[in-house]
Amino acid sequence: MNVLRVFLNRVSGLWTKRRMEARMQEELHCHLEMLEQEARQRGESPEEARYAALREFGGVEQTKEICRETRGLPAVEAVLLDVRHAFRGMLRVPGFTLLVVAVLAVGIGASTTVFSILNTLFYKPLAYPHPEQLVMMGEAYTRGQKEGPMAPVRYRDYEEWQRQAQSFDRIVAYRPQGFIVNSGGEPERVRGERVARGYFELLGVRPMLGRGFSAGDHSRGGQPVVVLSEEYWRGALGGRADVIGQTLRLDGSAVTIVGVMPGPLRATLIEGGARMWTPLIPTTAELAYDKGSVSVLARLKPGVALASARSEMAVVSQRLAGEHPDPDRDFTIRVDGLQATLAAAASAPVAKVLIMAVVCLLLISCVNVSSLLLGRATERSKEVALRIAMGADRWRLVRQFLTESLAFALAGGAAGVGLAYLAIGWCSARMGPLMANDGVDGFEIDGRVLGFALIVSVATAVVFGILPSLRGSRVDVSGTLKEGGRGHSGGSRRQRLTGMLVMVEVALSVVLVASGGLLLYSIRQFWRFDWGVPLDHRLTMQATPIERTYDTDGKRRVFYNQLLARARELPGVEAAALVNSMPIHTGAHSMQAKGAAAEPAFAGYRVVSPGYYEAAGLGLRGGVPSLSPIPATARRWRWSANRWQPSCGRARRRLAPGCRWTALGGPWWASRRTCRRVWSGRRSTRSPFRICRSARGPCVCCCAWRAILRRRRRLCGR
Amino acid sequence: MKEGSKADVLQGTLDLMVLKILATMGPLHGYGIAQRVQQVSENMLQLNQGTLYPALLRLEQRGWIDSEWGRSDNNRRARYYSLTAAGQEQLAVEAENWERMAGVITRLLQGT
Repeated sequence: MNVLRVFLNRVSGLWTKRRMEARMQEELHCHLEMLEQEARQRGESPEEARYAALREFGGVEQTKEICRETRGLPAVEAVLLDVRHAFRGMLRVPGFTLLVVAVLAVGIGASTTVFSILNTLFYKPLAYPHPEQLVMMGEAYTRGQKEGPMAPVRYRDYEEWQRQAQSFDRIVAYRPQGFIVNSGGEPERVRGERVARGYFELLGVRPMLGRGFSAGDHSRGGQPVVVLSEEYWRGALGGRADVIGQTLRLDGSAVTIVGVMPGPLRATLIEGGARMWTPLIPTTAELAYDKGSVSVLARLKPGVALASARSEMAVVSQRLAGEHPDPDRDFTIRVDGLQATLAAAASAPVAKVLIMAVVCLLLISCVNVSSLLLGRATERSKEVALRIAMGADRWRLVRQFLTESLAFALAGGAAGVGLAYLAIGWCSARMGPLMANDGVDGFEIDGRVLGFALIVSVATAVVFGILPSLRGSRVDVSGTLKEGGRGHSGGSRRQRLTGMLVMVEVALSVVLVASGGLLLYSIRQFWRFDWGVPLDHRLTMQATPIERTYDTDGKRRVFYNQLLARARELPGVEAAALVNSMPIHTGAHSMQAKGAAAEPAFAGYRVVSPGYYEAAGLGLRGGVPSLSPIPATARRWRWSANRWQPSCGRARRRLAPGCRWTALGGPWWASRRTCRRVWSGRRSTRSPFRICRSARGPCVCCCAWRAILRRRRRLCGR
Repeated sequence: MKEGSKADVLQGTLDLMVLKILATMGPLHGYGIAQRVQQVSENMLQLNQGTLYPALLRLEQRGWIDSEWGRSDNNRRARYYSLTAAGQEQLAVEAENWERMAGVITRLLQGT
């Protein structure tokens, strides 16, 4: 208590310094005069009285000094003095200061921008209560020892998990889905999710208007309802308060709006942001569906560790496998923290390269500033020599130099944050609409980002300041002072040392510039990568027929055929075709080949309409694809040998497709030859695509069809 | 000056002296306090009057004494120090401590 009071008093002493000084001077003066007067009254001469007073009082200047030290915080005052000195020094050479600050601002600004983007996307804690308890659950292929990425879960497995798992407060399934909203004008596709009971309660979000889903909403035959996101409510419905109870035409049927959820829900970032939610009431087809269809989110019970939940789910997984043995399914259950899943995306190659490039840039600016300061330190050797001559010790000088570096770095940091602010504004404006799909409404500079900028600034100050400060504080005093106005430290050895330092710094910066340039080049190469598919003059299109209206295969086929025919008639369109999943896109459409080889081989496949090769511009090896029919009932596909997976050889393998055969509707054709290598996503999943064609035109798959259009070249406006 | 004829002020005792003097005499300026110390000690104490001021500053920082400008007897502007309530309590505590300490020392000296 007392210590605190004394400390606060001392701190306040830093501000009331002038007043306190005046008070002390007057008080001591008064005291001395009184002593003098007393001595004079004793009969001493004025001069003697004066000496007597001083004798009795003791050292006046010492007393003042002790008082000053008691009053404030001497260490802080020294630092403040250093800071003031540093800023004065900066103002004395404005051009130099501007250069240094600009160089630092670029380095710090770039790293702050990148950090802020990564922070917004991956590291910012999820805005839910106890976000550390939130986990994603899914199934993962086990390929040998390696666990594959998380895949959707079968609905019935999800129900089993709910029954058996004890580690979780709640386990809730959801399924991303595009809804077609028809509110009078143009129908609009809106990203949404069908969610099982307790989804909002699991996340811990409360509706800002109306209510969430009730038990009745999830019962079969209940009144269809929808919950909107704040974003959709404000954007499409104008944020009217009276929307609750009104109806919206969703996928062709009237649905009652019961609530509005606040803000973008960032759990949905993984799947792409949802704008509206409807209750997930599985249809009989979905219940019977043999492939993963739902994603699963869960909240751990308080105090349950992720590891124990994982081991419990491993037991559940084994038990389920024992109950329903299926040799085609090599799955394990994967449980990952939601935040970790988000953060894992930050280790994407582009992010890594970006971080490295930014670090390079920062180091380049450090090295450059270091060289500049080194030059300045040499110029200032006279000043330093003078200060040493007057009794400053080495440590004091190093501190002075470091304070100056810090002042430069902080000024650079402030300018850098300003630059980052501009850069982020620019990024948000350009990427905002893209990011909005992912539930991110723009990048921002928050406390974490500012903290990051501060830490980076201080760190750079140490990095670029340490060498000049050590070098600058070592001066041959007598030599320098003797040289007079030249202000140059003599001695050939010393100059050689300085020369070497400059050489090292220049070499370092050349290396850094080269590596930074290479890294930026690799980022560029990421975008210019030859995916094996020409990306120019290609348009894509997606259309989902409403299930209610197009309820049979025949109707859907007519719809798609019409779509394709009309697309081909569009002016400027040269070719159009349908495909179940875009080239490059890593869809869930893969087949597992089972055969002689010990390791199962996976192959992605595409179901395409005639003319796909022309529309997509896939150059075929061996000219026209030779297609041979394979009856769907035989369930035997021919696996042609290809150059990219020699392990497959020419052996015949049984393919276990990702999609159910019947859902695809046969008969099917498989091409003997593969087309050019088409890359899919990351290098690790490079499986050559098999391109198959349906003889009867497009048929219904478990997914919506995509159209790919080729534009005529001269129409290229952009 | 002969060794032992005048005692140095013991560490920490100056604070106690100042507190006690302010308690008995009421508000006083620095010179007044110094005079009082000399007077009570009958010049047995070696006191650099300057050392009084850091002590006063310390006591003020701790909130035991208060100070304000006032007029001295011969109408000179001077800073007057007075005891606060907290200072009163502190005086009691320190006086007790001192008596206990003095008692220990006395007993020790008598014992030999």
